[in-house]
Amino acid sequence: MKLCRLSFIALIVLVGLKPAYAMADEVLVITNKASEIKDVSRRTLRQIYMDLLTTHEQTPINLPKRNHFRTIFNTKVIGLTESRISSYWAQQKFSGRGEPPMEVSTEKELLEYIEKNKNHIGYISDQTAVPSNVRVLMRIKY
Amino acid sequence: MCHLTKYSRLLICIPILFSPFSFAADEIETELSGFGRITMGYLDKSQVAYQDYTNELSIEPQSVLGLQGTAKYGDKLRVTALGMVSHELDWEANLEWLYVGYRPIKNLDLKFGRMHTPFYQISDSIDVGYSYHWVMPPPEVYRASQVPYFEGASIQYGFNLSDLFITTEAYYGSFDGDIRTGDTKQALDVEDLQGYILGIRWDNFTFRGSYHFADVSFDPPQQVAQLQAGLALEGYSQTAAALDSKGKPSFIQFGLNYHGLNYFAWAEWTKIDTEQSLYVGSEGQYIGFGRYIGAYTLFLTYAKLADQAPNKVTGEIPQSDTASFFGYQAVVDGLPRSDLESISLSARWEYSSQVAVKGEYKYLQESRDSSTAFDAAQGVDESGDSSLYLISLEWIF
Repeated sequence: MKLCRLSFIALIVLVGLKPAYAMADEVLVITNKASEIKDVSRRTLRQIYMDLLTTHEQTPINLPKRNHFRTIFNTKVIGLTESRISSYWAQQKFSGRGEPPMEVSTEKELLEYIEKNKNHIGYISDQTAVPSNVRVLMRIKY
Repeated sequence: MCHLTKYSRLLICIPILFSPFSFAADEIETELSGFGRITMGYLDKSQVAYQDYTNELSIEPQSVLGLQGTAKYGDKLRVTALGMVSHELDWEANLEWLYVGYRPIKNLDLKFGRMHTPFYQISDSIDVGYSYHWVMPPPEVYRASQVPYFEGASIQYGFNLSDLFITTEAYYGSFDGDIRTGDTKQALDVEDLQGYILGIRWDNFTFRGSYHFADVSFDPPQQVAQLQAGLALEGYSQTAAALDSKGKPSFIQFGLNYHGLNYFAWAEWTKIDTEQSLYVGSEGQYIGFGRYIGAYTLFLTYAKLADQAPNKVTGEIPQSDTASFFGYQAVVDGLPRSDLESISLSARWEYSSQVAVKGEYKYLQESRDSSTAFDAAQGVDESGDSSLYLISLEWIF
Protein backbone atom coordinates (compact mmCIF):
# COMPACT_ATOMS: atom_id res chain seq x y z
CA MET A 1 0.00 0.00 0.00
CA LYS A 2 2.85 2.32 0.95
CA LEU A 3 4.62 1.40 -2.28
CA CYS A 4 1.49 2.23 -4.26
CA ARG A 5 1.22 5.63 -2.59
CA LEU A 6 4.89 6.37 -3.23
CA SER A 7 4.51 5.35 -6.88
CA PHE A 8 1.49 7.60 -7.22
CA ILE A 9 3.39 10.55 -5.70
CA ALA A 10 6.40 9.84 -7.94
CA LEU A 11 4.10 9.79 -10.98
CA ILE A 12 2.56 13.12 -10.01
CA VAL A 13 6.05 14.63 -9.48
CA LEU A 14 7.24 13.29 -12.84
CA VAL A 15 4.18 14.62 -14.63
CA GLY A 16 4.67 17.90 -12.82
CA LEU A 17 8.29 18.05 -13.94
CA LYS A 18 7.48 17.41 -17.59
CA PRO A 19 8.16 20.41 -19.77
CA ALA A 20 5.16 22.49 -20.74
CA TYR A 21 5.40 21.38 -24.38
CA ALA A 22 4.86 17.78 -23.34
CA MET A 23 1.26 18.73 -22.59
CA ALA A 24 0.73 20.49 -25.88
CA ASP A 25 -0.12 18.66 -29.05
CA GLU A 26 -0.76 21.55 -31.40
CA VAL A 27 1.08 24.67 -32.50
CA LEU A 28 -1.21 27.60 -33.25
CA VAL A 29 -0.40 30.04 -36.03
CA ILE A 30 -1.78 33.41 -35.00
CA THR A 31 -2.26 36.96 -36.16
CA ASN A 32 -4.11 40.07 -35.01
CA LYS A 33 -7.88 39.97 -35.62
CA ALA A 34 -7.58 43.30 -37.43
CA SER A 35 -5.29 41.67 -40.01
CA GLU A 36 -6.63 41.19 -43.52
CA ILE A 37 -5.53 37.55 -43.42
CA LYS A 38 -8.42 35.31 -42.37
CA ASP A 39 -6.80 32.00 -43.20
CA VAL A 40 -3.49 30.84 -44.58
CA SER A 41 -2.14 27.77 -46.34
CA ARG A 42 1.09 26.04 -45.32
CA ARG A 43 2.64 27.03 -48.64
CA THR A 44 1.79 30.71 -48.11
CA LEU A 45 3.04 30.54 -44.54
CA ARG A 46 6.29 29.02 -45.75
CA GLN A 47 6.65 31.78 -48.33
CA ILE A 48 6.01 34.45 -45.68
CA TYR A 49 8.67 32.97 -43.38
CA MET A 50 11.18 32.57 -46.25
CA ASP A 51 10.52 36.09 -47.56
CA LEU A 52 9.27 34.70 -50.88
CA LEU A 53 5.94 36.48 -51.01
CA THR A 54 5.45 39.86 -52.60
CA THR A 55 1.67 40.05 -52.27
CA HIS A 56 1.37 40.08 -48.48
CA GLU A 57 2.64 42.63 -46.01
CA GLN A 58 2.87 40.18 -43.11
CA THR A 59 5.85 40.39 -40.78
CA PRO A 60 6.76 36.93 -39.48
CA ILE A 61 7.97 36.41 -35.92
CA ASN A 62 10.02 33.45 -34.73
CA LEU A 63 10.49 31.99 -31.28
CA PRO A 64 14.16 31.54 -30.30
CA LYS A 65 16.39 28.86 -31.83
CA ARG A 66 16.12 25.47 -30.12
CA ASN A 67 12.60 26.33 -28.91
CA HIS A 68 10.48 23.18 -29.16
CA PHE A 69 7.61 24.88 -31.00
CA ARG A 70 9.97 26.55 -33.44
CA THR A 71 11.42 23.14 -34.29
CA ILE A 72 7.90 21.80 -34.92
CA PHE A 73 7.03 24.86 -37.03
CA ASN A 74 10.23 24.44 -39.07
CA THR A 75 9.56 20.75 -39.58
CA LYS A 76 5.84 20.90 -40.35
CA VAL A 77 5.56 24.22 -42.17
CA ILE A 78 8.92 25.31 -43.54
CA GLY A 79 9.89 21.71 -44.25
CA LEU A 80 13.56 22.32 -43.47
CA THR A 81 15.93 21.77 -40.58
CA GLU A 82 17.15 24.68 -38.46
CA SER A 83 20.60 24.08 -39.90
CA ARG A 84 19.41 24.50 -43.48
CA ILE A 85 17.34 27.55 -42.55
CA SER A 86 20.43 29.15 -40.95
CA SER A 87 22.39 28.51 -44.18
CA TYR A 88 19.55 29.96 -46.26
CA TRP A 89 19.50 33.17 -44.24
CA ALA A 90 23.29 33.47 -44.30
CA GLN A 91 23.08 33.33 -48.12
CA GLN A 92 20.24 35.86 -48.22
CA LYS A 93 21.93 38.22 -45.79
CA PHE A 94 25.37 38.27 -47.40
CA SER A 95 23.86 38.68 -50.86
CA GLY A 96 21.83 41.69 -49.71
CA ARG A 97 18.55 39.93 -50.49
CA GLY A 98 16.92 39.82 -47.11
CA GLU A 99 17.04 39.38 -43.39
CA PRO A 100 15.70 36.49 -41.29
CA PRO A 101 12.37 36.98 -39.48
CA MET A 102 12.47 38.89 -36.23
CA GLU A 103 12.99 36.73 -33.19
CA VAL A 104 11.48 37.09 -29.72
CA SER A 105 12.50 35.34 -26.51
CA THR A 106 9.14 34.11 -25.24
CA GLU A 107 5.60 33.35 -26.35
CA LYS A 108 4.44 36.18 -24.10
CA GLU A 109 6.59 38.64 -26.02
CA LEU A 110 5.34 37.22 -29.31
CA LEU A 111 1.73 37.69 -28.22
CA GLU A 112 2.44 41.29 -27.27
CA TYR A 113 3.73 41.98 -30.81
CA ILE A 114 0.71 40.28 -32.37
CA GLU A 115 -1.71 42.22 -30.17
CA LYS A 116 -0.07 45.56 -30.93
CA ASN A 117 0.58 45.08 -34.67
CA LYS A 118 -2.08 44.01 -37.13
CA ASN A 119 0.37 42.79 -39.77
CA HIS A 120 2.45 40.42 -37.67
CA ILE A 121 2.17 36.67 -37.75
CA GLY A 122 3.57 34.11 -35.33
CA TYR A 123 3.04 30.78 -33.62
CA ILE A 124 2.50 29.59 -30.05
CA SER A 125 1.71 26.40 -28.19
CA ASP A 126 -1.94 25.42 -27.72
CA GLN A 127 -1.32 25.54 -23.97
CA THR A 128 -1.00 29.31 -24.15
CA ALA A 129 -4.21 31.30 -23.77
CA VAL A 130 -5.16 33.15 -26.95
CA PRO A 131 -6.26 36.75 -26.23
CA SER A 132 -9.61 37.90 -27.65
CA ASN A 133 -8.05 40.21 -30.25
CA VAL A 134 -5.88 37.45 -31.70
CA ARG A 135 -7.01 35.10 -34.48
CA VAL A 136 -5.87 31.50 -34.86
CA LEU A 137 -5.09 30.97 -38.55
CA MET A 138 -3.96 27.40 -38.42
CA ARG A 139 -3.55 24.51 -36.01
CA ILE A 140 -0.51 22.33 -36.61
CA LYS A 141 -0.81 18.91 -35.04
CA TYR A 142 2.32 16.97 -34.17
CA MET B 1 51.19 34.57 -38.37
CA CYS B 2 53.22 36.36 -40.98
CA HIS B 3 50.00 37.82 -42.37
CA LEU B 4 48.86 39.22 -39.08
CA THR B 5 49.71 42.76 -40.10
CA LYS B 6 47.63 42.41 -43.27
CA TYR B 7 44.62 41.12 -41.34
CA SER B 8 45.10 44.02 -38.96
CA ARG B 9 45.09 46.38 -41.92
CA LEU B 10 41.65 45.12 -42.94
CA LEU B 11 40.30 45.39 -39.44
CA ILE B 12 41.47 48.98 -39.37
CA CYS B 13 40.27 49.83 -42.90
CA ILE B 14 36.73 48.54 -42.79
CA PRO B 15 35.40 50.42 -39.77
CA ILE B 16 36.86 53.59 -41.28
CA LEU B 17 34.58 53.04 -44.28
CA PHE B 18 31.61 53.22 -42.03
CA SER B 19 32.77 55.78 -39.56
CA PRO B 20 30.88 58.68 -41.17
CA PHE B 21 27.64 56.88 -40.40
CA SER B 22 28.35 56.75 -36.73
CA PHE B 23 27.80 60.50 -36.71
CA ALA B 24 24.75 60.32 -38.95
CA ALA B 25 21.19 61.17 -38.18
CA ASP B 26 18.92 58.89 -36.18
CA GLU B 27 17.13 57.53 -39.23
CA ILE B 28 20.33 55.93 -40.52
CA GLU B 29 20.66 52.42 -39.20
CA THR B 30 24.05 50.69 -39.49
CA GLU B 31 24.90 47.03 -39.24
CA LEU B 32 28.21 45.23 -39.27
CA SER B 33 28.45 41.52 -40.00
CA GLY B 34 31.12 39.22 -41.30
CA PHE B 35 32.38 35.78 -42.10
CA GLY B 36 35.59 33.85 -41.97
CA ARG B 37 37.13 30.57 -42.93
CA ILE B 38 40.32 28.78 -42.00
CA THR B 39 40.87 25.85 -44.33
CA MET B 40 43.71 23.39 -44.31
CA GLY B 41 44.37 21.28 -47.38
CA TYR B 42 46.72 18.70 -48.84
CA LEU B 43 47.04 17.30 -52.37
CA ASP B 44 48.66 13.87 -52.59
CA LYS B 45 50.47 14.58 -55.85
CA SER B 46 53.91 16.08 -56.27
CA GLN B 47 55.02 18.80 -58.69
CA VAL B 48 51.48 20.07 -59.34
CA ALA B 49 49.04 22.36 -57.59
CA TYR B 50 45.26 22.15 -57.63
CA GLN B 51 43.49 25.36 -56.59
CA ASP B 52 46.85 26.31 -55.02
CA TYR B 53 46.98 23.18 -52.85
CA THR B 54 50.14 21.10 -53.14
CA ASN B 55 51.63 18.08 -51.41
CA GLU B 56 52.52 20.30 -48.47
CA LEU B 57 49.89 21.06 -45.85
CA SER B 58 48.67 24.60 -46.33
CA ILE B 59 46.08 26.87 -44.75
CA GLU B 60 46.51 29.72 -47.22
CA PRO B 61 44.64 29.00 -50.46
CA GLN B 62 41.04 29.17 -49.25
CA SER B 63 41.24 30.93 -45.92
CA VAL B 64 39.37 34.20 -45.98
CA LEU B 65 38.10 36.93 -43.72
CA GLY B 66 35.29 39.26 -44.75
CA LEU B 67 33.53 42.15 -43.11
CA GLN B 68 30.26 43.56 -44.42
CA GLY B 69 28.77 46.86 -43.39
CA THR B 70 25.34 48.14 -44.32
CA ALA B 71 23.95 51.60 -43.70
CA LYS B 72 20.16 51.81 -44.20
CA TYR B 73 18.24 54.99 -44.69
CA GLY B 74 14.64 53.99 -44.09
CA ASP B 75 13.27 50.91 -45.89
CA LYS B 76 14.31 51.96 -49.37
CA LEU B 77 17.89 53.15 -49.47
CA ARG B 78 21.02 51.37 -48.30
CA VAL B 79 24.76 51.39 -48.83
CA THR B 80 26.58 48.06 -48.53
CA ALA B 81 30.31 47.43 -48.50
CA LEU B 82 32.15 44.14 -48.22
CA GLY B 83 35.87 44.08 -47.52
CA MET B 84 37.87 40.88 -47.77
CA VAL B 85 41.36 39.54 -47.32
CA SER B 86 42.37 36.22 -48.84
CA HIS B 87 45.28 34.40 -50.45
CA GLU B 88 43.77 35.12 -53.89
CA LEU B 89 44.01 38.81 -53.08
CA ASP B 90 47.60 38.45 -51.80
CA TRP B 91 46.27 39.14 -48.29
CA GLU B 92 45.69 42.74 -49.21
CA ALA B 93 42.40 44.24 -48.04
CA ASN B 94 40.12 44.47 -51.05
CA LEU B 95 36.70 46.02 -51.45
CA GLU B 96 34.62 43.23 -53.04
CA TRP B 97 31.34 45.12 -52.94
CA LEU B 98 30.44 48.75 -52.53
CA TYR B 99 27.02 49.58 -53.81
CA VAL B 100 24.03 51.77 -53.23
CA GLY B 101 20.79 49.81 -53.19
CA TYR B 102 17.41 51.38 -53.78
CA ARG B 103 14.20 49.43 -53.23
CA PRO B 104 11.26 51.68 -54.22
CA ILE B 105 8.84 48.80 -53.68
CA LYS B 106 9.32 45.53 -51.83
CA ASN B 107 9.96 43.41 -54.93
CA LEU B 108 12.10 45.78 -57.01
CA ASP B 109 15.77 46.23 -56.16
CA LEU B 110 18.16 48.56 -57.99
CA LYS B 111 21.88 48.54 -57.24
CA PHE B 112 24.68 50.81 -58.40
CA GLY B 113 28.36 50.30 -57.70
CA ARG B 114 30.66 47.31 -57.31
CA MET B 115 28.87 43.96 -56.97
CA HIS B 116 29.61 40.24 -57.23
CA THR B 117 29.24 38.94 -60.78
CA PRO B 118 26.16 36.71 -60.56
CA PHE B 119 27.35 33.81 -62.72
CA TYR B 120 26.27 30.94 -60.48
CA GLN B 121 23.68 29.64 -58.03
CA ILE B 122 25.84 30.70 -55.09
CA SER B 123 27.82 33.58 -56.64
CA ASP B 124 26.67 36.07 -54.04
CA SER B 125 27.60 33.90 -51.09
CA ILE B 126 30.46 31.82 -52.48
CA ASP B 127 32.89 33.34 -49.98
CA VAL B 128 30.57 32.61 -47.06
CA GLY B 129 31.50 28.95 -46.63
CA TYR B 130 29.24 28.60 -43.59
CA SER B 131 26.21 28.86 -45.86
CA TYR B 132 26.83 25.73 -47.95
CA HIS B 133 27.89 22.14 -47.54
CA TRP B 134 31.14 21.94 -49.55
CA VAL B 135 34.54 23.04 -48.30
CA MET B 136 35.39 23.89 -51.91
CA PRO B 137 32.45 24.49 -54.27
CA PRO B 138 33.31 22.39 -57.38
CA PRO B 139 35.87 24.43 -59.39
CA GLU B 140 34.76 22.40 -62.43
CA VAL B 141 31.76 24.75 -62.47
CA TYR B 142 32.74 27.67 -60.24
CA ARG B 143 35.76 28.57 -62.36
CA ALA B 144 34.95 31.99 -63.77
CA SER B 145 36.21 33.59 -60.57
CA GLN B 146 38.62 35.62 -62.73
CA VAL B 147 35.78 38.16 -62.84
CA PRO B 148 34.60 38.02 -59.23
CA TYR B 149 32.89 41.40 -59.32
CA PHE B 150 31.89 44.14 -61.73
CA GLU B 151 31.24 47.84 -61.54
CA GLY B 152 27.93 48.96 -62.94
CA ALA B 153 24.22 48.61 -62.27
CA SER B 154 21.75 45.81 -61.69
CA ILE B 155 18.00 45.55 -61.48
CA GLN B 156 16.11 42.71 -59.82
CA TYR B 157 12.35 42.19 -59.83
CA GLY B 158 10.54 39.38 -58.02
CA PHE B 159 6.91 38.33 -58.22
CA ASN B 160 4.57 35.49 -57.36
CA LEU B 161 2.84 33.56 -60.09
CA SER B 162 0.43 31.02 -58.65
CA ASP B 163 2.63 28.90 -56.36
CA LEU B 164 5.85 30.07 -57.94
CA PHE B 165 8.20 32.79 -56.76
CA ILE B 166 9.98 34.21 -59.78
CA THR B 167 12.97 36.53 -59.81
CA THR B 168 14.33 38.28 -62.87
CA GLU B 169 17.61 40.13 -62.90
CA ALA B 170 19.68 42.06 -65.42
CA TYR B 171 23.02 43.79 -64.95
CA TYR B 172 25.51 45.80 -66.96
CA GLY B 173 29.05 46.85 -66.13
CA SER B 174 32.78 46.33 -66.50
CA PHE B 175 35.74 44.78 -64.72
CA ASP B 176 39.39 45.71 -64.69
CA GLY B 177 41.68 43.17 -63.04
CA ASP B 178 44.14 40.34 -63.52
CA ILE B 179 44.12 36.75 -64.72
CA ARG B 180 46.14 34.72 -62.28
CA THR B 181 47.87 31.55 -63.49
CA GLY B 182 50.14 30.09 -60.84
CA ASP B 183 52.43 32.92 -59.80
CA THR B 184 51.95 34.96 -62.98
CA LYS B 185 49.37 37.65 -63.56
CA GLN B 186 48.08 39.15 -66.81
CA ALA B 187 46.00 42.29 -67.06
CA LEU B 188 42.36 41.53 -67.89
CA ASP B 189 39.89 44.08 -69.21
CA VAL B 190 36.18 43.24 -69.38
CA GLU B 191 33.82 45.75 -70.98
CA ASP B 192 30.12 45.67 -71.83
CA LEU B 193 29.64 42.86 -69.36
CA GLN B 194 25.96 42.01 -69.17
CA GLY B 195 23.82 39.19 -67.90
CA TYR B 196 20.20 38.10 -67.63
CA ILE B 197 19.04 35.80 -64.88
CA LEU B 198 15.80 33.94 -64.22
CA GLY B 199 15.11 32.26 -60.91
CA ILE B 200 12.08 30.13 -60.10
CA ARG B 201 11.21 28.71 -56.70
CA TRP B 202 8.47 26.16 -56.22
CA ASP B 203 8.08 24.48 -52.87
CA ASN B 204 11.44 22.88 -52.13
CA PHE B 205 12.79 23.28 -55.66
CA THR B 206 14.86 26.19 -56.97
CA PHE B 207 15.78 26.67 -60.61
CA ARG B 208 18.21 29.27 -61.94
CA GLY B 209 19.14 29.96 -65.53
CA SER B 210 21.40 32.74 -66.72
CA TYR B 211 23.14 34.07 -69.80
CA HIS B 212 26.13 36.45 -69.73
CA PHE B 213 28.50 37.94 -72.30
CA ALA B 214 31.20 40.61 -72.51
CA ASP B 215 34.00 42.13 -74.56
CA VAL B 216 37.14 40.67 -73.02
CA SER B 217 40.78 41.48 -73.67
CA PHE B 218 44.01 40.59 -71.92
CA ASP B 219 47.72 41.04 -72.49
CA PRO B 220 48.78 38.05 -74.65
CA PRO B 221 52.14 36.36 -74.04
CA GLN B 222 54.94 38.08 -76.01
CA GLN B 223 55.49 35.00 -78.23
CA VAL B 224 51.81 35.05 -79.31
CA ALA B 225 51.84 38.81 -79.93
CA GLN B 226 54.91 38.44 -82.17
CA LEU B 227 53.37 35.55 -84.11
CA GLN B 228 50.14 37.50 -84.60
CA ALA B 229 52.02 40.54 -85.92
CA GLY B 230 54.03 38.32 -88.28
CA LEU B 231 50.92 36.58 -89.64
CA ALA B 232 49.22 39.92 -90.23
CA LEU B 233 52.27 41.21 -92.12
CA GLU B 234 52.26 38.14 -94.35
CA GLY B 235 48.59 38.68 -95.18
CA TYR B 236 47.07 35.87 -93.11
CA SER B 237 44.50 38.27 -91.72
CA GLN B 238 41.90 35.67 -90.66
CA THR B 239 44.42 33.62 -88.70
CA ALA B 240 45.97 36.72 -87.18
CA ALA B 241 42.50 37.92 -86.12
CA ALA B 242 41.80 34.54 -84.48
CA LEU B 243 44.88 35.09 -82.29
CA ASP B 244 43.53 38.41 -81.15
CA SER B 245 43.41 38.59 -77.39
CA LYS B 246 40.15 40.51 -77.70
CA GLY B 247 37.06 38.34 -77.80
CA LYS B 248 33.40 38.16 -76.92
CA PRO B 249 32.92 34.99 -74.91
CA SER B 250 29.48 34.05 -73.65
CA PHE B 251 28.52 32.10 -70.56
CA ILE B 252 25.36 30.11 -69.98
CA GLN B 253 24.33 28.50 -66.71
CA PHE B 254 21.49 26.29 -65.46
CA GLY B 255 21.10 25.19 -61.88
CA LEU B 256 18.53 23.18 -59.96
CA ASN B 257 18.40 22.31 -56.33
CA TYR B 258 16.04 20.58 -53.94
CA HIS B 259 15.97 20.91 -50.17
CA GLY B 260 13.83 18.58 -48.11
CA LEU B 261 13.73 17.86 -44.42
CA ASN B 262 16.14 14.94 -44.62
CA TYR B 263 17.56 14.95 -48.14
CA PHE B 264 18.77 17.51 -50.62
CA ALA B 265 20.25 17.62 -54.09
CA TRP B 266 22.11 20.17 -56.20
CA ALA B 267 22.99 20.22 -59.88
CA GLU B 268 24.52 22.89 -62.07
CA TRP B 269 25.69 23.03 -65.68
CA THR B 270 27.71 25.81 -67.29
CA LYS B 271 29.18 26.44 -70.71
CA ILE B 272 31.65 29.06 -71.95
CA ASP B 273 31.61 29.68 -75.70
CA THR B 274 34.11 31.66 -77.71
CA GLU B 275 35.17 32.08 -81.32
CA GLN B 276 38.76 33.15 -80.60
CA SER B 277 41.66 30.68 -80.80
CA LEU B 278 43.20 31.99 -77.59
CA TYR B 279 40.10 31.42 -75.47
CA VAL B 280 39.29 27.87 -74.55
CA GLY B 281 35.56 27.20 -74.38
CA SER B 282 34.45 24.68 -71.81
CA GLU B 283 31.60 22.82 -70.19
CA GLY B 284 31.42 22.24 -66.46
CA GLN B 285 28.83 20.40 -64.44
CA TYR B 286 28.14 18.75 -61.13
CA ILE B 287 25.39 16.76 -59.52
CA GLY B 288 25.23 15.90 -55.86
CA PHE B 289 23.02 14.37 -53.21
CA GLY B 290 23.05 15.06 -49.51
CA ARG B 291 21.55 13.98 -46.25
CA TYR B 292 20.81 15.97 -43.09
CA ILE B 293 21.36 14.01 -39.89
CA GLY B 294 20.68 16.38 -37.02
CA ALA B 295 23.49 18.92 -36.94
CA TYR B 296 25.45 16.92 -39.51
CA THR B 297 25.28 17.11 -43.29
CA LEU B 298 26.77 14.63 -45.71
CA PHE B 299 27.05 15.38 -49.41
CA LEU B 300 28.37 13.38 -52.37
CA THR B 301 29.28 15.26 -55.55
CA TYR B 302 30.23 14.14 -59.03
CA ALA B 303 31.75 16.93 -61.15
CA LYS B 304 33.18 17.17 -64.64
CA LEU B 305 35.07 19.80 -66.59
CA ALA B 306 35.63 19.39 -70.33
CA ASP B 307 37.50 22.13 -72.17
CA GLN B 308 36.78 22.28 -75.87
CA ALA B 309 39.44 22.17 -78.57
CA PRO B 310 40.39 25.75 -79.54
CA ASN B 311 38.79 27.11 -82.69
CA LYS B 312 41.44 26.74 -85.37
CA VAL B 313 41.55 28.64 -88.63
CA THR B 314 42.30 26.15 -91.41
CA GLY B 315 43.11 26.62 -95.08
CA GLU B 316 44.47 30.15 -94.96
CA ILE B 317 48.16 29.38 -94.29
CA PRO B 318 49.65 26.95 -96.83
CA GLN B 319 51.67 24.12 -95.29
CA SER B 320 54.56 25.20 -97.50
CA ASP B 321 54.93 28.28 -95.29
CA THR B 322 56.27 26.11 -92.51
CA ALA B 323 57.23 28.90 -90.10
CA SER B 324 53.76 30.47 -90.08
CA PHE B 325 51.84 27.20 -90.37
CA PHE B 326 53.63 25.34 -87.59
CA GLY B 327 54.05 28.47 -85.50
CA TYR B 328 50.27 28.92 -85.41
CA GLN B 329 49.61 25.20 -84.84
CA ALA B 330 52.11 25.13 -81.97
CA VAL B 331 50.48 28.09 -80.18
CA VAL B 332 46.93 26.77 -80.53
CA ASP B 333 47.80 23.14 -79.75
CA GLY B 334 49.89 24.28 -76.79
CA LEU B 335 46.96 25.90 -75.02
CA PRO B 336 46.20 23.99 -71.80
CA ARG B 337 42.92 22.07 -71.72
CA SER B 338 41.21 20.03 -69.08
CA ASP B 339 39.27 16.83 -69.18
CA LEU B 340 38.69 16.38 -65.51
CA GLU B 341 36.30 14.27 -63.48
CA SER B 342 36.00 14.22 -59.72
CA ILE B 343 34.04 12.68 -56.90
CA SER B 344 33.96 14.33 -53.53
CA LEU B 345 32.48 13.52 -50.16
CA SER B 346 31.78 16.49 -47.93
CA ALA B 347 30.75 16.52 -44.28
CA ARG B 348 29.51 19.51 -42.31
CA TRP B 349 28.90 19.76 -38.60
CA GLU B 350 26.97 22.77 -37.43
CA TYR B 351 28.53 23.51 -34.07
CA SER B 352 26.23 26.50 -33.53
CA SER B 353 24.05 28.80 -35.59
CA GLN B 354 27.22 30.76 -36.42
CA VAL B 355 29.99 28.18 -36.59
CA ALA B 356 30.44 25.07 -38.71
CA VAL B 357 33.26 22.57 -39.10
CA LYS B 358 33.63 20.87 -42.46
CA GLY B 359 35.75 18.18 -44.05
CA GLU B 360 36.06 17.08 -47.65
CA TYR B 361 37.75 14.34 -49.62
CA LYS B 362 38.01 14.89 -53.38
CA TYR B 363 39.25 12.32 -55.85
CA LEU B 364 40.39 13.86 -59.15
CA GLN B 365 41.10 12.22 -62.48
CA GLU B 366 42.67 14.39 -65.20
CA SER B 367 43.05 12.96 -68.70
CA ARG B 368 45.20 15.71 -70.21
CA ASP B 369 48.87 16.30 -69.50
CA SER B 370 48.62 20.10 -69.80
CA SER B 371 45.55 21.05 -67.84
CA THR B 372 43.74 24.28 -67.01
CA ALA B 373 42.70 22.74 -63.70
CA PHE B 374 46.23 22.18 -62.40
CA ASP B 375 49.29 24.40 -62.18
CA ALA B 376 52.74 23.00 -62.77
CA ALA B 377 56.09 23.92 -64.23
CA GLN B 378 56.29 23.60 -68.01
CA GLY B 379 56.80 20.02 -69.13
CA VAL B 380 55.37 18.42 -65.99
CA ASP B 381 52.69 15.84 -66.78
CA GLU B 382 49.51 16.97 -65.02
CA SER B 383 47.40 13.97 -66.01
CA GLY B 384 46.48 11.10 -63.71
CA ASP B 385 44.76 10.60 -60.38
CA SER B 386 45.10 12.66 -57.24
CA SER B 387 43.30 13.19 -53.97
CA LEU B 388 42.63 16.42 -52.15
CA TYR B 389 41.97 16.48 -48.42
CA LEU B 390 40.40 19.56 -46.84
CA ILE B 391 39.29 20.49 -43.35
CA SER B 392 37.73 23.82 -42.55
CA LEU B 393 36.39 25.99 -39.76
CA GLU B 394 33.75 28.45 -41.00
CA TRP B 395 31.91 31.13 -39.16
CA ILE B 396 29.61 34.10 -39.55
CA PHE B 397 28.86 36.90 -37.16
